[in-house]
Amino acid sequence: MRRLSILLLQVLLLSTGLVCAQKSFNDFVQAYPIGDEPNMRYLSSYTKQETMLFEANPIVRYSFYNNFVKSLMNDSTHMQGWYISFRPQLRMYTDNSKPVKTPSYRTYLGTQHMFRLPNKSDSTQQFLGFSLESGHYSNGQVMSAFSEKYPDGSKESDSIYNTITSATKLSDILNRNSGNFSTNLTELILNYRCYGLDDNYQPKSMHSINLGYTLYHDLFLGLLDFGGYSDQDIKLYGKHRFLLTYEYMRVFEHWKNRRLNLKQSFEWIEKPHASVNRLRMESSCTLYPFSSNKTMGVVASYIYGHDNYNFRFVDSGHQFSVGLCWSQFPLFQMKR
Amino acid sequence: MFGNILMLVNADAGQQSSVNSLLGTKGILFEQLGNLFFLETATKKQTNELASAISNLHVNFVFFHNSISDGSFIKSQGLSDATLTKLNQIMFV
Repeated sequence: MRRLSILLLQVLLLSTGLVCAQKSFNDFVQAYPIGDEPNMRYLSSYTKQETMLFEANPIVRYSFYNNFVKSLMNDSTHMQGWYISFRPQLRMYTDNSKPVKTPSYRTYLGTQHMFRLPNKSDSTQQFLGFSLESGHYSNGQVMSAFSEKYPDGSKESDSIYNTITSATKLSDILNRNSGNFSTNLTELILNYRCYGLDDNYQPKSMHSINLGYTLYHDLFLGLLDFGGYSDQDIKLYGKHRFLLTYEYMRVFEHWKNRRLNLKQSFEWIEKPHASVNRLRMESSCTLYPFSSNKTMGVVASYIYGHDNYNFRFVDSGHQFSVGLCWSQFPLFQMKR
Repeated sequence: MFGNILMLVNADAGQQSSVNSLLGTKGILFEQLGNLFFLETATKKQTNELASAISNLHVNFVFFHNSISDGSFIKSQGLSDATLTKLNQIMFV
């Protein structure tokens, strides 16, 4: 892990020095093919302990280098981006005071790459790609995860952890107002996608598959000793997460410039606390109905399994959501 | 729609005529100025097919395809207003 971290840091520092001069408008357009889309949505509640109003998932990426658009339009075989990413997650509940509880803060250094595969015809384009991100994930809180009275890491907090057994229902004892969640993590996603192209070499359909792995680790970027987890917490979180996603996109033939996305994702946590539902699956349908703004869509989802809001992974059940999202990899010409 | 410029290199009158006929056969909107053809295509696929068809005439040529308008313009001297209007229509509208 340490050697991989040093290599990653060296490569990131080297790439920062290789930024090319900005020559055309395309140099200012930065696209990211792999990863979630920023969204704002209504979410139904998992537990009776708190009622959700809405959730916001902004994603901000600042590239050190990004040639996806220019390279895709010019038949390049390798496209890449190197960036810093901020992915906060905010939920508002119906509580009268402090309705926004324990927001998630996620900061990553990352890189994405896509490689154009040989194609049999001009009407299809296939790509293999990957995303590698490493950073920090926490909720900025200081109190014990299971008590509002004692700070995290105090003797009193530790003694509460010592009472937790495999039979304990963590969802019932979670400190939902100020409980600390903190870890560093590294995420690798492998992607295969195949586009069907129209006569202007713009996508009219897409199949995409992601395979992902996330490792929770104590050292930031595998090197620096801050922002990690306690030995007690990691036994509850689980260190390993696996991801599988399939996505289908179709541009409407008779409703010009509008498209539909269908997405099915599965996440599996390896060896969390016994009360945690290891599985999370999300089925979503996104319609992009605005010809004047092709990146904005209306998304509806059904979710089953564990929650994905920092320590609330201890909650589980069925959820529905509806809201707005913004595509990070909109459709544009894929070849000359 | 896309604007394109085809320049024939060292072409004789017969070769110019064969290109002219090809464009007419394919229903392409164009304006010929000697060895220079300003022509309009509807899709990138049509553009590539047209370039291949011109190659099959065994003429020497340069073909410029204007994909993204980023403030390009045409300047000229000695052309009529009607000709200049048609060139702008082909290349930029």
